[in-house]
Formats: sequence, structure tokens, C-alpha cells
Amino acid sequence: MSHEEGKPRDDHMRGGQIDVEDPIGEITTLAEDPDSDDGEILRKLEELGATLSADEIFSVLVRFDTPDVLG
Amino acid sequence: MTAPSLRQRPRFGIWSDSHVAADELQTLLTTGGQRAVITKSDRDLAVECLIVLTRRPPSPAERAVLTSLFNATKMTIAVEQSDDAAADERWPRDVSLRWTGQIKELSALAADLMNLVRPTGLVFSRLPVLLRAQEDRPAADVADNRADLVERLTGPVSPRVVRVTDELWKELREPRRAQSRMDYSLRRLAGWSADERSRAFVNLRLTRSEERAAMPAKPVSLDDVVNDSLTRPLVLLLGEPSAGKSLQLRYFDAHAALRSLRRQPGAAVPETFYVALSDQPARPDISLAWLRQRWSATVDVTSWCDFDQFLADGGTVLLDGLNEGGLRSLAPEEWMSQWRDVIQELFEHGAGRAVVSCRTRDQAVRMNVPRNRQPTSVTILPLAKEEIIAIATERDVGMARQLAAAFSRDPGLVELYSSPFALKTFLDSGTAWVATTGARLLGVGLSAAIVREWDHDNSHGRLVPGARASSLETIARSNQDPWPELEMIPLIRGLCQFAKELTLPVGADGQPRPAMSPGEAEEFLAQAIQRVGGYPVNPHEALETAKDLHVLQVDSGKVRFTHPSMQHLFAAVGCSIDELVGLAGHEYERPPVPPIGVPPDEVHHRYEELFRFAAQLRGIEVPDRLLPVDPILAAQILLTIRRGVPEYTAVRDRIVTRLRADLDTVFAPSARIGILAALGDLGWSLPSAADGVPSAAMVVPAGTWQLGGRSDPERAERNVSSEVRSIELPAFRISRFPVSNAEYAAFIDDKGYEEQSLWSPEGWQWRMRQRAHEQFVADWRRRQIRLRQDHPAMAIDLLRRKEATPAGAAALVRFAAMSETEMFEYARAVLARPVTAPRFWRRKQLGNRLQPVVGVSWFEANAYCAWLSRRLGTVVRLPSENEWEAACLRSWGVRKTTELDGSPRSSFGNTAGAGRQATTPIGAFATREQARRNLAVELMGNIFEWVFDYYAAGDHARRILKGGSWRHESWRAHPAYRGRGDVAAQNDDVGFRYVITEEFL
Repeated sequence: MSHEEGKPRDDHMRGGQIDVEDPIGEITTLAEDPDSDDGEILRKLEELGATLSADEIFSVLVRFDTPDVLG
Repeated sequence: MTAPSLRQRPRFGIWSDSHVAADELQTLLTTGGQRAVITKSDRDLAVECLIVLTRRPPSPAERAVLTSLFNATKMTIAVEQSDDAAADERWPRDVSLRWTGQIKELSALAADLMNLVRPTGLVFSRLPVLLRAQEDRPAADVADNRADLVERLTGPVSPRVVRVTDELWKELREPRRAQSRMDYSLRRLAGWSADERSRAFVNLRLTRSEERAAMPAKPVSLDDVVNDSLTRPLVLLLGEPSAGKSLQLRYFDAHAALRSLRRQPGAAVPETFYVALSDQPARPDISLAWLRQRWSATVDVTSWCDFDQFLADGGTVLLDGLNEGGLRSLAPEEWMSQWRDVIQELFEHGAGRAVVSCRTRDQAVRMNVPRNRQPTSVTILPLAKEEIIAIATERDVGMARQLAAAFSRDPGLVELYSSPFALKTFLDSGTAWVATTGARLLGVGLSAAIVREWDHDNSHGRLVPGARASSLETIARSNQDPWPELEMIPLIRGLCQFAKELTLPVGADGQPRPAMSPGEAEEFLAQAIQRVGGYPVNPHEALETAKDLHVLQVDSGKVRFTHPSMQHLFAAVGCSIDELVGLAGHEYERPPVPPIGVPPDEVHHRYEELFRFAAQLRGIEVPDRLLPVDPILAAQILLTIRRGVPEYTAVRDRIVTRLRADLDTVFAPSARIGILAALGDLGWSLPSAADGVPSAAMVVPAGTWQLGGRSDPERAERNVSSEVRSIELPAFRISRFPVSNAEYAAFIDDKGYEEQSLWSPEGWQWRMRQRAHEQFVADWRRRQIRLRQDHPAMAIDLLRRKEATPAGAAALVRFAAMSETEMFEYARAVLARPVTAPRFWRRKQLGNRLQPVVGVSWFEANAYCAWLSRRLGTVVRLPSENEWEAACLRSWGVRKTTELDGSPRSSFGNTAGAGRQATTPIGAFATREQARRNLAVELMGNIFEWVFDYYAAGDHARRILKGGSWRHESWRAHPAYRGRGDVAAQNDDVGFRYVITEEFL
């Protein structure tokens, strides 16, 4: 989901490349691969979902509150 | 590497520790027309403005990422939940904002962010800042020699901050001459970094002067202008005093330094040289030689190049302050002509460009150089509303929101803040003052402007006396009121007379003098100043000085004050208290002409602001002296003075006594409304049965009453009356007045809403909003069931089709598994919180202490009665319809409803016909008779009152309402009229009064 553009950075800038966990990135990658396993995606979504608060969940659901999705 | 174009919209980058929050913010910004991306690292980042949105303090690893992100962007805004991070947990940012972590707050945050970063470009443009490094920084992070420094500054992406060792910093800052081109550039950049004013630098908009008269074209930057091939060799940078001309030039110079460092080796990039003309000695030396001397003081001509070489290479000369001839021994025209000749010489020696700053009105001579060509003139535009809000947002979001609200109420206020200097002064004075037009605030602004004029040696002669300006500076530093000092300045006193002339009524028709033309204004002002100061005054200069101080301006050929409040303020300063009393008396006699849309009996004072300012300036004496003439005005004015001042209570009591006396003698409703409103504001209360005051209840003696039924043969729809009947009732007491806001507040303060035993079971359930929770859960369970039918295929499908983000799909998955208990928990925590006050409790038009409480449901009315019962030790309850009607007849001295038909009393009250948009204070419509005999008042009109009867047999969800209200036509304000309301309804025209059934113990 992140749309990162621009030229690759050269190493002028100090301040390292730190490895940060990126569940969003992983899910996006899986979703974009037509051959990826649905079960694997579901598992990752469940993991991510477990980190969400009720406030976040209901705020996001508002966007999907259409007859075709939530009836 | 060119300067960032101002016309490009900035890209926002969002870094967050919450996926959903980042998602949501990105959506909000994009919907608001911005470009926004989510980022996790500093790879491939090309955004101008980074937003860091966190719920918890970042880990050390994350902090390192954020620091390098800070370096890569032009502006970093941190949005955090708390600011108690320890020193070693801090990471660099430009602006800090707060949030509570709740998603719903993000839309307000997005609005603040868009205010902060103008759509037409960043308001705050940054050059790389050179920072002296602290000892504990890793060596790799810090430049310790020039070559390294230059390498960092000239990378493909311009850094925000470059750290330099202490040694290198000292070297760059020590007062010596530049040894080389690189040295020259680095020293200028270091100078810019060191100047504290650069922190507040704002990229202002310019407009080409020839376009001003016509539609102004898109604003440009100084860089754009100078680099445009169509621009002539001489550029005049014009603007009002304190518009920011010097800072623009110095920014240009620093930017040119950076450009010079970045040029390709061998490329010929002309240098730039900045000179402040205020550095000229008292006996002016206006010559090329002097400029040469300035150059030699800055650059070591033996190691690099001399002034002539610099010129020959096509250098750009920046001359700051062409109008600052000031206190020197030359007349302005002479000063400028000589500089014109010098500039001509500069061009003859090869200069590529000259940029000269000057105050717009000070252009004494035509600067047609070189070779008689007109210069390109650009003018700094005054700050626009968006820019003001952006600058304020950076300082303090709360202040900015207040300002934004003030601007939408009063667009004219923008004028007061439109110079960067004035804005800074106002912002510095703190949140309490900003966005108001208080006397103190305007005084502070004026005082700062005077000090600035004096500081800059601008020639105002004796109009701005140095000694006064110096005192004002001292006063400002100790945060005292500047007005006593300001009033001593003849110019200010002259302006006061001018304000009075334009404000106070003259002649029999009571209208002030219309606006004056510049010629008239100049003469008037000059004479007024002369009278006070005792010395001759040049009329033109007087007006121009007033304009320089942002007090007066010329608009459509007329001279006016920059803002009406400014005019009232000066008039207030210029009026003695006797004059004020006279004015109040004059106004009191005048038949009032209210503004459109206000009901005719609202008390309206034409000069209210003037009196308010007078009170702020002169204190408690003003309302005290106004009291005999106009007590309501005195009350309004008293309220603008701080309570803590001595004598406040004594004056307040005097005003209350007078108003109370008036209440006993004045019975015209329109007058009583004003008196009661003022009494309410001063904290006075009606007698209350709740305090055990016997005269607060009316005794309805035992007897037979002919109640009900008024049928209207012509209007069948109006047959909504109680039945005609003859009823015998025992004696009872009923409150003379409906329950007021003040009385109901006592119930709230005594935790009436939290004491379950005061409420019926149904009432308590209503109060706790249990039904709303159940409804919510039912609604979402339905959705959950629907989702589960296609789960998990639906969520994955939406994800693959990119109709859901990963966070969105995760939310769907989580929701599908959510239990009912969790849904209830959420509903309880967030939705429709329990009722804790009547509806409309905060609405100003309904909120005077003496107005009846409205927005109360039948449940709340009953709870209040239960509470009052406990306090009084007797039974207190809502009246029955019979009791209510009997009381109504009693209050008019009759026993039969028919006796009221057709009489003027039958529609005497606050009803729709009067055009008011709210309730009136209790007692406005009391009659002399009712006051004298302690009868109940206003049973008809103003508010509908709850009684305890069902509206229809067995239907306990609806109860009867009696009496008519301000919202409804007068025919409903009749004792027999039977209205109804849902028990849960909280309307703004429904209240209640109560019956006390047993004698006091």
C-alpha cells in the first residue's frame, strides 16, 4: 500500500537503514501475487487485526459500510 | 540545484506506529487535495513535509530512522500523545502537535496540517542549518572540516541540518575576512544559521508592481524575479514598514551562498554581496569607494578577489534600506539621488544585478538606472489569511484555531495581523490576548510599531519622540500596560481626537461625522497634534506616520482606521469619563434603532465597544459613573472588568440594587428583559422555593375552577384543548417561576444525574442510554452476519483488488470474529454517553442564569422534583393538568377560563409573534399585579411546561405539555391548550415548574 517513489538514495546521508518489521508490506506483496496462498494472507490479516483497537476497527469499517459488503 | 518552487504542492510523508492511523490520515489529506504517502524508512523518500504520528515514544532504532528522515525533508511535524519523553529519547522536529490517539481526531489534525503547510508551497522555507554539534554525537555524523561540510551541503538532496564541530563553527563565525569563494559562502551560511530571525523566516509572496492595479498575477518569490530573464538589471523590493524586506534580502543572500557552493566546477556563477545601508556613517559617504571598503572588510582581497573583480564577473549587489537616510544630514531626495548615481556606477563596472529594498511610500526619486531604464519593482504582499494561520499554527495550534475562528467572525481582523512584524508581536503576547481586540493587545501592537520605527531611525521627526519610544521598550519588556505612556505622545493624542471626530455623534440627528478625505484628515490631525505638542507639524508627514504605524489607512479615497475596533479604542482613550457619561446619556435618550434581525426590545448599545475599551483603560470608575445614567450599560461594562479589582463587589452591588429597584417599577416587557438579563449576568437570582423562600411559591386556595375547552368554530385544527370541566381542588402551592438555569445548575452540581434513587427505573435507563447501546449492537451484529456469509473470501478479494488496504482488510477480518460483548463495550465507551446535563445546556442564547431551563426530558424534570423533595423535606412533584390550569387562572385573578378569552391577557407572553429566537429571562412578562400579590408568572408563553398526566390513556410514553412557548403561535399560549411531548424529548422550548403538596415542616 505504500507508494514510494524517487531515485535510490546514495550513501551521503548518514543514518542507517534499519530493518523494521513491515506487516503491511508483506501483506501487500502477497496480495499482489496472484499465485499466493489465501490461507497465508488470512493468517497475516488475523495477526495484524489482533493489533487493532475497537476504535480503529469501527472507524475503518465505516468505509466498507455499503450494501454489497456489509449488507 | 534551484530553489524549491513555491508553486508546487508539497508532498506529505506519513510515518506512524499505527497502520490504521497512517491510513486514515493519508485518506484525509488526499481527500483534502494534498499529496500524501506512507513511509517507513528513509529509502527513496522525496517528500517535503514529514508527519510523524505516534501513540508511544519511538524505540532507539526508530529514532535513528526519524533523525535521518528529518534530515531529508524540508519540514518535520511530530504528532504525539505525550511530551514527557526523556532527553535521550528526543528526536529532531520542527513543530510538535498533540493528539489523544483517537482516530476520530484525525480529521481536525488533517485540517491543522493543511493550514500549516500552505497549498501553494511551504510557508517556512529552509536553508540547511549549520548546527554546532554536541560532544556526544558520533563522529561520523559531524563535519569537522570545510571539504566535508561542503560535501554534505552539496549532495543530491539538500539536508536540513548539518552538524559541525565546535572548532569549525568558531572558525566560520569569527570576525575575519573570507579567504576564498568557498569561505565566503560558508561564512554567510553560518551567519544565516546563527541569526535567530532566520528561524521564523517566512517565504513571502511578491507581486510585480505594474500588475497590482489590474488583477494580481500569481505571487512569485524573489528568486523567481531575479532569475527571470525579463527582469531588468535593477530590482526594487518594496513594501510597507515591517513587511519583511530585509529578511527577504538576507535569505536571498544566504541562498545565493548555497548556490555558489553547488555550482559545477568551472561554471561562472556571479557572486552576491549584501550591504545594509544603515551601516552608513552619520556623515554619509555615498560612493563606490564606500562599497569597496565594505567588501574589503568582508573579503580578503589579496587571497580571493576584489570588489571590482566581483563586479566585473557580473555580481549581484543587495542594498538594504534605501529609505534609511533617517537621521543623517541629507534630505531623502538627495540621499536617494546619490545612491542612484552609485548604482549606475555599479552597472558601469559590470554588475549583473542590483536589488534594492525600500519602503513603498518613501520612493522620493525615480530610480531609473542603468541608462534611464525603469527598474523592475516588486512589492511584498501583506500576509494573507492562510499564511497568518500557518504561522500561528506553527507557534501554537490552539492560538491558531482561535485566530481562524476570529477571522471567520470578523474578516476585517486579518488587516491587523497582516504584517509579519505585527503578527509576531501579537503571537508573542500569548494566547490570552490573541484573536481579541482588547485595549491591551492593540496597545502592545502599537507600542511595538513605535519602538520599531524608532529603532530603524526612520524619519518621523518629533512625531515619534525617542524618549517615549525608549520607555515603551522598557514597558514592553516588563509586560506592563503601555497605554499610560502612549497617551503622552502628541501623535497618539492627535489620533484620539481624530477618532472622536469620526465616532461621536454630532448635532441633532445624532450621527457621527462621515469619513474624511486625506487632505482634510491631514489638516485635522496636524492641528490636533500641534495643539497638544506645541510645535508645528507637517500635515502630510502626520498622516504618513499614522499609516506607518498601521493605525490609519486610505481606502477608496477616504481615510479610516485599520479596523473599527482601533477607532473605538482611540476614541475611548481620548474621551474623559465625563464625556463618556454624556455620551451614555445622549444614547439613552435616543430612540433605539436596532440592527436588522434583532428583536426590537433587545438592548443594543451603539457604542458598546467604546465603553468597553474605556472600562479596560480606566477601570471600575467607568461603570460606576455610568450607573445613574444607564444601569444596564453599566452592568455590561462591569462584566468586562476583571473581578479581582478592588471596589468590584461594591460597584456590582450598587448596580444590582439599582436594577432591582427598576424591576419593581418598570413593567414593559422589553425593558424588563434587559434588566433581568443584566441581573442574571451579575449573578443575581430570583427568589426560589428551593431555598425555602415562602414568597417563591404561590398559594392556590381550595375551591372550584371552571377549566378547559376553548373551541374555535372557525379553525377546527385549533381544537386541541382540555375538556370543559368544573374541578374542585384542595389548596396547594406551586412555584411562582419555572425552574431557572441557576436552580437547575444546583441539581447538577449536587450530582443529581448520578444519584440513581432520584430517577424512576425507566428514567434511569433513559439516562444511561441503554437503548442507544442496544441499537448500536443490533445494527452491527446484522452487518457481521452478512459479512460472515462471505468470509474470509470477501476480505481477501477486496484486498487483492486493492479496494481495501491491508489495514482495512485486517479490520474486516477482526470484525468478523468480534463478540457481542466487545461490541457492547465499545458502544458504552464511546457512543452516546450517559446524559449528564440538559440538551442545549451550553447554548449561549438560552444560558443566562435567569432564563428557564430547557432541553429537559420528562424524566429529568421528575428527577429534579425528587431531588428538591429531599432537600426541602416535603413532597415536590410536577403539577397535574388540573392544577396547572387552576394556577394559570389564579395568576390572572380569575376562576373561569372563559374570563380570559378575548382579553389582551390571553396572549401576553413570549410567543412566536415577537420574533425572538430564544427564551426570555423569567419575569420579563410579569405584571404589576402578579408582582404585588406574589402570583405565579408566565404560565403562558416562553416555555411549554411538563405536567405529569398521560396525553392519551395508557400511553405513558407521551405526557401533556401546557402553556405555549417562544417557538409557537400565541393561540397555543392559553390555559386550556393541551400540547404533548415524548417523555424522552429534550426540546429547547420545554421546561417545567413544580408543586409543593405539603406545608413546610
